[in-house]
Amino acid sequence: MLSPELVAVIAFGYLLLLFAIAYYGDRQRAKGRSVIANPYIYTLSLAVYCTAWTFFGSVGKAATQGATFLTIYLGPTLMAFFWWFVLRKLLRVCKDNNLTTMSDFLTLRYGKGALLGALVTLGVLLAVVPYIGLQLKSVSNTFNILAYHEVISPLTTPVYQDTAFYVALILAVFGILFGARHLDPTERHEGMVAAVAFESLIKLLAFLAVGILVSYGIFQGWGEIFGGIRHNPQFRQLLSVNTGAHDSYLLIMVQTILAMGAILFLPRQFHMAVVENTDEKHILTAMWLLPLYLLLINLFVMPIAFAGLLLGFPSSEADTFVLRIPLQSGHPYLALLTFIGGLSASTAMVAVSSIAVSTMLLNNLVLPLTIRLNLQEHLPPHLLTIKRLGILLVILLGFITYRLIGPSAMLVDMGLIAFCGVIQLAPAILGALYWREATKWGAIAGLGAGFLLWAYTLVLPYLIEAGLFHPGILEHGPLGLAVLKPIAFLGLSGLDHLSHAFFWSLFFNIGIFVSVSLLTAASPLEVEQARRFVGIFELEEGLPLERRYTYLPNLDQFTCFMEKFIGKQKAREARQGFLKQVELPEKEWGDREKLQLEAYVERTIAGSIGPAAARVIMDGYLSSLGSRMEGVFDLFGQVSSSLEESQQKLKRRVAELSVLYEAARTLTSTLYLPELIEGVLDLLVDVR
Amino acid sequence: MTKKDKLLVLLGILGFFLLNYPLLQIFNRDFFLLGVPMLTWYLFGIWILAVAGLRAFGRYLTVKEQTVQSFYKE
Repeated sequence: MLSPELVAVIAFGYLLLLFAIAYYGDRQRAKGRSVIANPYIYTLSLAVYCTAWTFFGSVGKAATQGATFLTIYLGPTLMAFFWWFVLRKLLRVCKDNNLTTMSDFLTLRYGKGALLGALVTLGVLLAVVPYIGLQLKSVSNTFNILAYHEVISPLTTPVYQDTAFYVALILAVFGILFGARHLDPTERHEGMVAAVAFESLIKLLAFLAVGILVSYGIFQGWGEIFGGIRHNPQFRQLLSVNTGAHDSYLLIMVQTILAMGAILFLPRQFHMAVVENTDEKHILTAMWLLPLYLLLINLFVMPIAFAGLLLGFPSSEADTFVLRIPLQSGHPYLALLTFIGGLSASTAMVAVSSIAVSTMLLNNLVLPLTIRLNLQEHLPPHLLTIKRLGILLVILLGFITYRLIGPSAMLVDMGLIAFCGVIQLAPAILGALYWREATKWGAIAGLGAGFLLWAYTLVLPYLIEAGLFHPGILEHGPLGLAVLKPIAFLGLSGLDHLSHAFFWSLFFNIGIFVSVSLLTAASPLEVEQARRFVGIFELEEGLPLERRYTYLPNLDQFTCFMEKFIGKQKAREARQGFLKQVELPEKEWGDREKLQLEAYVERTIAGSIGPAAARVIMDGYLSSLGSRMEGVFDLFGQVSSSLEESQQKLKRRVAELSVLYEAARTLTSTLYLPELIEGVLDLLVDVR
Repeated sequence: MTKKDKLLVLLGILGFFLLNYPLLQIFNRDFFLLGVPMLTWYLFGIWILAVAGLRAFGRYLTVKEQTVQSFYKE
C-alpha cells in the first residue's frame, strides 16, 4: 500500500530531478553547448500540448463520448501539413524582431500601440487561467486517490488543507526557478525546455505502460475489450459517432478546427514552437514526429476507457481510470508511475503557460501602464521581481478559479473553452502574416468582438451554472431579452454550446476584422511593418538609407542603457553580437551602422519589455540626450520613405537629377559664357 | 514555395476532408475487423498515413533546403 508520505516524497523527488535537468540545461547553454538544439528535443518540447487533460481527461471523454476525443489530436496532425508555411514564417518574423509573445507579435505588426497588446493579454489570460486550474485539480485529485483513495472536494476543505493549494505554491516556485531566475532578452529557457522534453517522454512511457497492462495483462487484447463493449447495449453507442449532440459531426469538425488553432496559438505552444526554437529546420522533423507522438499517447485511450467500464467502474469516475485500474488490480507501483506521468503533464503545462502569460502581462499591461504613469525611470531594477510576481499571480488565479468553479462540471471542459478563446487570435495573426491591408483598428475591433462573444456565449453559461450569476439570464436572456440568450444568441438554437460559441465568435471576429481593415487606413508605420511581415522571405538587406539621427549615443552609452533592462552580462553579449554583425570597428561607422545600432538596441530590450514599451522608452532616452530623427537628402528621402510612391515618380526624379548632373558638367566644362548658356539650354530642350 | 511544395498544403486539406462529415460517415458503421470497430481502424489508419506522408515530405524538404543552402554558399 502507498502511504501519503511515500507519494509526497516521490513526487517531490521527481520535481527535484526535473530541476536538476533544467539546471544542467542552463549550465550547458552558458558554456555554449546547447542540449536542446536538436529536432527530437524540439518535438518532445512541443508535446507540452498533452496536459493532464490528455493524460486523464481523454480516457474520461472516451468513456462517455467515444471516439470524438481523438479530434483534439487529429487537429494538430492536420495542422502539421501547414507548419512549413505558417509556423516557419511566424518563426522568421519573431526571430528577426526578437519577439517573445503573441501579443508582442501583434503589437509590432499593428503599429506598436499598447491597446491591442493589452486586449490580447486579457483575453488570453481569461482563457488560460482556468486551464491552469484544471491542472491543479488534476494533480491534487490524483494525489488524494493514490494516498487516501478518495477525491476531496474543495467545497468542504479550508484553503490551507487543500492539496491543490500546496500544489499551486510548489508549481509557482517551479515556474519561477525555471523561467525567471534571471532576465533574458531572448526569453529563452533551455533548461526548462530540457525538463519539459524529459517530462514528455515520461508521460508517454507511463501511459503506454498502463495501456499495455490493461490490454494484455488484465484483458486478452483489444478484441476482448472492444467485444465486451460491443455486446453491452449500455455502452454500444461509444463505438460510433454522431449518436447525439455530444458527438455530432458538427462538433467533430469544430473540435478539429479548434485543435488546429490550439497547436499554434496556445501561449505555451507559441512559446515552445517559436521562442524556444533553435533552428527552423527542426520543424521538418517535428512535423511528422509530433503527430506520431500524439498517435502513440492516444493508442491505448479507448482500450483503457472501455476496460474501466467493463471492470465495473462508474463512468463518473472515468477521469481517473488510468490511476484506478492499476491500483485496483494490484499494481500500486504502476499507479505511482501513472501519477508521475500525470504530474509531468501538469507541471510542464503550468510552468510553460505561466511563464508565457507572465511575459505577456509584463510587456503589455505592466509596462504600458508604468509609462502612462511616467514611472519608467524607476522600473528597470524591478523587472525581474515583476516577472516572478506575474508567474505567481497567474498560478494563484488558476487556483482561485479552481476553488470558485471547481465543483461544477466546468473544469473538465476548460480545455476546449481555452481552445475556443485562443482561436480568436487566428484571424489577426494570419492577417499579420499574409494580408497587407489588415489594419490596427481592424485587429482591435475583430479581436474585441471575438473575445467578447466567446466570453458571453461560452464562459458565461458556466459561470451561471457555478452560481455566480442569476440563472434567469440563461433561461430568458439578460433583462428578459430572449434574443440575447447566451446559449441561443440571436435565436440560433439547436447547436451544442461549443459549436454555437465557435460560430458566433469567429463569425463576428473575422467579419469585423476584415471590414474594419478595409474601411480604415493604415498608418505609415503599419504599412512598413506589413511589408516586413508579409514579405519576410523576400526581404533583402541594404534598403536605401532614409533617416539619420542628429546625434546618437555611442556603443558604450547604449550598452549602459541596455544593462538596465537585461543585466550586465546579457548587455555585454548583445554588444558583442552587434559588433560581430556589422563587421566594422566603431570608429568607421557611418549613418547606416548607427541606425542599425539603434534598431538593434530597441529589438534587444523589446525582448524583455515588449516592442510597444521599447519604442516609447527608446524615444524617451534618445530625446533626453537631445537626439532626434531627421530625413536624409530630401530629393530621394521622400521617395524612399514611402514605398507607395509609384515607379514613375521615381523615374521622374532620377531624370531630374540626371539633368542637374548634366547641367553641372556643362557648367564646369568651359569658362566661355555664351557656349555655357547654350549648352544648358540645349539640355533643357532635350528634356522637354 | 515551389509548385511541388504546395502539394503539402493540398494533402492537409485532403486530410481535413477525410476526417470530417460526409466522408467520415462511410466508415461510421457497425462493422468490426478483428474485433475492433471500422471507425477506429479508419481514424488511426488516416493518422498513420498522415505521419508517413509528413515524414516523406519532411525528408524531401530537408534535402531541398540543403541544396539551396549549398547553392548560396558557392
